[in-house]
Amino acid sequence: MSKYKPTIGIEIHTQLATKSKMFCGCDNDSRGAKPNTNICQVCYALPGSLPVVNRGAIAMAIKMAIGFNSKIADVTSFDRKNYFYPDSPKGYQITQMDQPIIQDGFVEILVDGEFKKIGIHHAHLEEDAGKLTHPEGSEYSLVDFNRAGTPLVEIVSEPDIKSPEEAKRFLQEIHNIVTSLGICNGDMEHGNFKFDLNVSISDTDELGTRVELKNLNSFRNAERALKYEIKRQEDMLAEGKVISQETRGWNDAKSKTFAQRSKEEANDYRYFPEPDLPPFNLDRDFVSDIQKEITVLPIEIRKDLNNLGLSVDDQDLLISQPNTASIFADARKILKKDNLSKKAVNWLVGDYQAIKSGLKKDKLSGGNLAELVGLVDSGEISSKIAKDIFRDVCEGDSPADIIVSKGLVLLSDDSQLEEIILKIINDNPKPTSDYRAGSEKVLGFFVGQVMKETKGQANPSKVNELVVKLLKG
Amino acid sequence: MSKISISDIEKVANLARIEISQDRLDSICLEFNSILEFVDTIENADTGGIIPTSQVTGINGVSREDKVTKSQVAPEDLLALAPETQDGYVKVRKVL
Ligand SMILES: [Zn+2]
Repeated sequence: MSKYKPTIGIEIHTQLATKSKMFCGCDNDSRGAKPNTNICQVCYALPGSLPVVNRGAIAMAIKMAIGFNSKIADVTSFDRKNYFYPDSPKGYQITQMDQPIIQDGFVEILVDGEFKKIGIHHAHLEEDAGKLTHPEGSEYSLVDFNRAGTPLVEIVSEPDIKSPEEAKRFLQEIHNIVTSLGICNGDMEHGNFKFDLNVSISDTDELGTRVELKNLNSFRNAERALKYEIKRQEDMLAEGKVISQETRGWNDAKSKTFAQRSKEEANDYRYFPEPDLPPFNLDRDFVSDIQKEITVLPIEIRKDLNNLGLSVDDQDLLISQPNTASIFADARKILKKDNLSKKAVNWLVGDYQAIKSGLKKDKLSGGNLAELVGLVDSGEISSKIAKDIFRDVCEGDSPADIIVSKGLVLLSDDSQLEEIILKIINDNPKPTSDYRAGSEKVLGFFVGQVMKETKGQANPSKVNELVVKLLKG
Repeated sequence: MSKISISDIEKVANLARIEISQDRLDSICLEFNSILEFVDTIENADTGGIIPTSQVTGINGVSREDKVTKSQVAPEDLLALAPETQDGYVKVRKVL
């Protein structure tokens, strides 16, 4: 155990899944589009053009605030961050500095079975820049402005994170929140969700020198980069070296962090209030309408699943699929009991995941899932039959209808079953006398024969009970 | 004593991507400092308890519905404004 304790703070850039861009009506989805085809006079910064705020982006930020247990600002306003770079047509970025839309919240992460709060310092709306490419061996760079003006929310955590594992869980939790609320598509390969990690180590109460690891886009690499960086800093201190405040990148192939040329200092950005956009008073009715759209928060689902004793992986799976989570929520309301709800989860994380992509139509409902669990629980169908009909249930059929139409109702009728069992006893004198002589293990043989005779449609516990009764004569 | 030094001027000019010739640095430095003196005068005003104001129009919360609309200027016309293009991209000096 090292004597140095790490302190980690994280900044996350999430691209919002709005239809149009932040300040203009250009299509916000440029996947597959040719370069510079989703641009207009505003995002291309033609002189005289003016930005207008996208109400949908404001609404999504409010949803995020609710997900972060934050207070929602009464007034939010925009600021101008000045810098020259070819990816920015205006020569500045419209962002928020003084009055960000999300202030002072927290998320809860599950660490070693305990919930821990990680503070959200604030989160602000801003616009993305264009995309630069640098063709190999060439003396020029190419710019595509389709991405310029895409709405972003930058989320800034408090330095409450104490280990690379916690950092990873925090990132996953934020990803869960923004994807399940439908705010962000969460596609990390395509830059929907990127982050910078600030890390320092110290063996006293005072914080050490902070190093920023820039532009990561995978949970695994975040954890690896932090582990590497913490070790690097420990080694430096052990050798009596001084850690310099710097920006570093992560080289995945070499599994190392490396020093990067730092850009401008914060005060070089010469922030000032954006003159083209009046401040935004957030109307309480607008906010409460958005609040009503959120039925359940990921953390509530997680706490419920955690109480049911589900593994963190299963929790993540369910939470990361909003549709599956809502099927569960509906089934849970009907089933109520924990043991039955857990069976519903098992269907969702097991069989459902396995067949989901191959379904003709994915129409599994919470009601039908609850019905299926109920039918197995009451013994009306065996779990084998439940498995056999599950695909139909996923395609929208009611389990009760399926078992009636396919004649799959379990035989629970005593006289019908007794008739079958007596015939089997008569046909098998040897096992019968074995049982009567004290060999309990032949019981399985009889039960098996009954199931075979009834094509698996007999209620197993009923069969057991009757076989014992009749063998004892 | 001057508040702003020649090197401050050079730094600001660089951030704003403005080229200032050496022989003009002294005079700009003087002008810059006299502007700041003027600001000093304003700073003497008692602004205690006054909320900073950056907008005086009184307009509030202008926004639009999240809907895709066509550009008023065709994208190809916008692209044609760039000094140099290649395969639909804007071509710029190499940056890394
Ligand atoms: Zn545009």
